[in-house]
Amino acid sequence: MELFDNIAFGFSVALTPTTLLYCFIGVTFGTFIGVLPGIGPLATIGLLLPITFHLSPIEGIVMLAGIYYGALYGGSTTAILLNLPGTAASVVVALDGHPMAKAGRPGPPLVMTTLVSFVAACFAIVIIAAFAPPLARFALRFGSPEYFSLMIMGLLGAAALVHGSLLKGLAMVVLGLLLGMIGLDLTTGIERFTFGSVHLADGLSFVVVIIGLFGLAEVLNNLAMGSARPNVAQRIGWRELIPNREDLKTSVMPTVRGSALGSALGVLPGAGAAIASFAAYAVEKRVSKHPERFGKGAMEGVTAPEAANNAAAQCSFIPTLSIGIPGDAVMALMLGAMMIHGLVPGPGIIENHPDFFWGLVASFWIGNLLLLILNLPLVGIWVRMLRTPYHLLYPTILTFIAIGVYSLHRSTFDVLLVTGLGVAGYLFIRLRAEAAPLLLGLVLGPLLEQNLRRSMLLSRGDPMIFVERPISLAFLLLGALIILVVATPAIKGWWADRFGRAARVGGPTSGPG
Amino acid sequence: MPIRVRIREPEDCLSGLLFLFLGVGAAIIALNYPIGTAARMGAGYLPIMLGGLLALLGAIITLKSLDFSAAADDAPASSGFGAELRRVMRPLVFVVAALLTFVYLLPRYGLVAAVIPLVLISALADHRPRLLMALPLSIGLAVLAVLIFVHGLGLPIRVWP
Repeated sequence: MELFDNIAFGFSVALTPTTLLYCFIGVTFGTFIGVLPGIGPLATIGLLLPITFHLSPIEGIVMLAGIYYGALYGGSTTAILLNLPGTAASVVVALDGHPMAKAGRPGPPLVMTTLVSFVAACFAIVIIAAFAPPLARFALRFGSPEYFSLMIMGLLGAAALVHGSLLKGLAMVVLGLLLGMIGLDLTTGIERFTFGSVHLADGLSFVVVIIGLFGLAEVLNNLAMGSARPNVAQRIGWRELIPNREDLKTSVMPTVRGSALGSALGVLPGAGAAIASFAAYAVEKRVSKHPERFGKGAMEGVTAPEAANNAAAQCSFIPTLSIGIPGDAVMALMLGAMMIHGLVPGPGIIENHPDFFWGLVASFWIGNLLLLILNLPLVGIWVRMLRTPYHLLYPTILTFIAIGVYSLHRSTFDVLLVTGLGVAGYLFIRLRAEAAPLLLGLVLGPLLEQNLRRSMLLSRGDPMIFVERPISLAFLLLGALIILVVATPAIKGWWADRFGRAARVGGPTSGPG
Repeated sequence: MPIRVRIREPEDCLSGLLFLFLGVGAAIIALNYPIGTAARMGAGYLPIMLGGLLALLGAIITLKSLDFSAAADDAPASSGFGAELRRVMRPLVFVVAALLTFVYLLPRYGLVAAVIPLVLISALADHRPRLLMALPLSIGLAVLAVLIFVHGLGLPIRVWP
């Protein structure tokens, strides 16, 4: 059977002692660097990337896969423990993972993310082998209008997910899109919003924005809260690390749903892991009998996005490789690394380099397995980081932010930028305007403009092209549906009630009320 | 009789104004770029549209935060504003100062001479600074930074002044 032949072939490529060793090294280093606060998965992969260039393409790619998974896992660890998400996808995991850690149960979400990642990887590998050829063919039918509408849908979804006002979420998306315009416009060669600075010609670095808006802003917020700051540094017994039966039971269906959703969204080019995890979170919230627990430490809010994230990350390799459009910033980095190894993504890569394609898929699975073996005993070490008093932790985070950001391009300008973005991010926290939708807008901005331009060129300036093409129309209708559902009076009332109260606790206007 | 307006949601009002300002600003800057036509969009086309959209959203958010029917006498009291401002400004000032010092010192005097002041100044950002702890911490972090970034990751950063 072709399905299992392909998988078996992949394992025969990825399961040699040397590749296994490189995968192991990649996972270990990826986790170690990725778990350092202020250094997200992107920075981690970026820093470790040069090592893989000394290896053969297959070994290099397998080690890269290990680094990728280690970095992502390290990223969700810091997201859960310190609320320092390194990617848009781990922003979602932190929504419920961090409250659980704050509530004195940091172990279970950490263990469950590893476990769920592995389950999702098992799921995704079968999906890829079974559906890679037909799905790639389907995705190939997408033209610019479909890409554009798909991105609009993703952005509307991100705006709908925010705590509080939908309008503010939409405004943050638009602001993100505008920030994405910064730098050289590749179509016309004109520099936009650079204010004459050469440092901004390449645009705002995604990593710098993430570290500023999430890392630094969070430090500022914690410091300003002073004694009102929630105490996360409590003693945790080893036994409490292990997820209880309840955790496992409540995670089964979310994991399945998350994996399915992640696989489905992952194969759509441009969607990527971030949209998948946002969507999985929204779905869990919707199907839950107790949606009010979300944002306060619901296990489903951790496991479903994590499963979706991992499934999407793997499945997004099909369109990423066959069309050449990365789903997110991490994918873009991986794509760049493959090209350095001489593997140029294009329609023929599965046929021409089956050893590479299936080897990569298999090594993702192996990377996840190694992560599971490596991390179950090490979770306790990550948890102990929580017991570090904040007056020791925050100067450490600041140091790593400063050096980490500097090391990206060896530019002190980036450190200045991160300082400004940190202050802006803190302002957003105070104004109760969430920054996560902004991030998605920033990443998708240039891609959105490119596809809008192409579509409008195709239709000679007629915007009807987006509703005349059925796939494009379907994406737009889905986007409208998301907005309609969120704006329904009943849900709006519940939403406002829940977040209104939650936001006032420790919020800027927390007077007597 | 003057129309009495009360701000119901200060956060919404301020963020709406911020979006309005940013949107108008972006659109005005983008007017300098070629706009083009819908079929052949210039560099200014989408930024102007997005700037306008952001301004519109900002205006709606601001208007929705206002209460036009309220009497003026139940305006929120502004007591405790000074204390609140001090609470907010202290971390902001010292964290920004620490990072700016780092930016100034790193290219000129190397990693160690940049990390130690960064840690010491940022220690002042806490409302109850523990300066006795800050000195050993700063030295420890400088050592750690050199070990991880210079020796471990092989980043070409100067270590000593």
